[in-house]
Amino acid sequence: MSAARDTIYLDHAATAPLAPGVLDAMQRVLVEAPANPDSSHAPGRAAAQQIDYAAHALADLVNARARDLVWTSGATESINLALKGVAEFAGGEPHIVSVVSEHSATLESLAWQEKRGTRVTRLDIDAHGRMDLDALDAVLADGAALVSVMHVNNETGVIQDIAAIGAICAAHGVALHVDAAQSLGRLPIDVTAMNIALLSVSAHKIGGPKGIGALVVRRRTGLAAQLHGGGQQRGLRSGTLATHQIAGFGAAAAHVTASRDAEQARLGALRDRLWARIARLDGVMRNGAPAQVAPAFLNVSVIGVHGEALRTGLVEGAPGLAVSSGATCSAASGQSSHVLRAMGRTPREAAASIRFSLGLSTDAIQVEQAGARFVAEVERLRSLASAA
Amino acid sequence: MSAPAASPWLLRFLAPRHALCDHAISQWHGVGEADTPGEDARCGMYLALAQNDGEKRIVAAAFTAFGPPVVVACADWFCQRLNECTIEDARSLDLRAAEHDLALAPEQRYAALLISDALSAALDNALARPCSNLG
Repeated sequence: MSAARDTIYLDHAATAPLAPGVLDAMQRVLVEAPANPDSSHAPGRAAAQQIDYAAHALADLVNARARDLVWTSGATESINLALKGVAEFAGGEPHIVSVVSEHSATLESLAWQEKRGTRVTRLDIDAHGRMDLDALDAVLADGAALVSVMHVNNETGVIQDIAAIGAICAAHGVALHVDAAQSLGRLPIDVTAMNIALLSVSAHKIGGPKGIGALVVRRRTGLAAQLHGGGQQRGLRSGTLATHQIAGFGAAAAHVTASRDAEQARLGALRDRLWARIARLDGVMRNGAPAQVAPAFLNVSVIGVHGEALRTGLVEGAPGLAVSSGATCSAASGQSSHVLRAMGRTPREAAASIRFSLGLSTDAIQVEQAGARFVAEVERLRSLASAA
Repeated sequence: MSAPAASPWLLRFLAPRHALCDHAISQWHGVGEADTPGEDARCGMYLALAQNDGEKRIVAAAFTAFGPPVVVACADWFCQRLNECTIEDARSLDLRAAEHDLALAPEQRYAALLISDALSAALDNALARPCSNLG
């Protein structure tokens, strides 16, 4: 992050710096394989071969078939294609089951569809952020066209038990769509073993470039195209493929395949170290049960400080912390994190929350500095508010 | 809300000079508080006054603040402006000057009103006390 050398970057869940090998792969393809990959001539075939390499690298990461990938512009498009495509293919007034804590790409897509006749059931989560599998089983007794669940929550890092959810869906004969934007490269994913019909992923969360994602569409999953044109990608998503973006995605996928287990163990240790530093403060709560949170994530709520002040102080102070918050602005206006409120946090606790997300560029020194900086800022804001 | 790095209100928020917690004074002659609906933000104003030639003047002002950064910034701005003000001067502080100096966006202007309300309460509180209490 050369543009902000004085900032400690702990926002890898928003986007990750390019992984090793990604830039080289993209540059090489731009120079050596510039043709349209759908062209039948030799330069076109050379470009198509680059896409094939990338497709295999990504497919191997989730145990899918390379030919089951549909390249998109990112996870948001993948999710929209999955939800709208299944509903349109099903026809009538389809029923889609999802969860209240989903990403806005899912929630807003479902709200849009609801206005057009889709019946949507949104399952609650518990205080730890996990959905109730018995409730899912019960609601599927009525039948559904699709269940859509986020594997790792983008705010809290809470992991849903996709294998168990997939088994329930399979028992009811319902297709499962998984938003894996935050779990790809962080957790094992096996679309076959987990009974996942549709899987949405994004490159820039794992060190690939922005602007490229994919939807894994497994066999016999009915899906209507949402983007029409030249009929590329089996007609499911028209448009000339961005060969260099896809090559970058493939390189990032290959990198995380080789490094995931060791890297996630390293990040988990750093995350625990950060929490230990922060937990010395009174009135700090960890959101999500630690055993059910992905290693790179730490989400905390702080009592006695205003969320916007905390976020601004951390981001704009020195050294700056590049962190995120589910809070948009004001607890009083109800704009705080819908995920944390669904977990039972008060609006003020939800507003005064910070998400740390660690990644490839994170080291122990940064974690120590970030922890100290966080503690100092909370203490400063509490002092400003105190008449004692 | 994100802010440009050099925004005046941001600089004051990051390094206020008139916070109560940083003040050596422990006896204040006027104390007033105000909050916004829903208590998303609240402010306390603390005034020390001295009486010279029959006129009360503010010799020190401090604040407590809970809320968005602009609330801290506005409170700090008011405290700076209050130094050597008479009660009448303090009551007539121009909110537009605060908005201008701090480069407040329209949606941030409530913060100046909040501090103004707390200041009015502190001034009323100071006037209600007997003059002998003034240092």
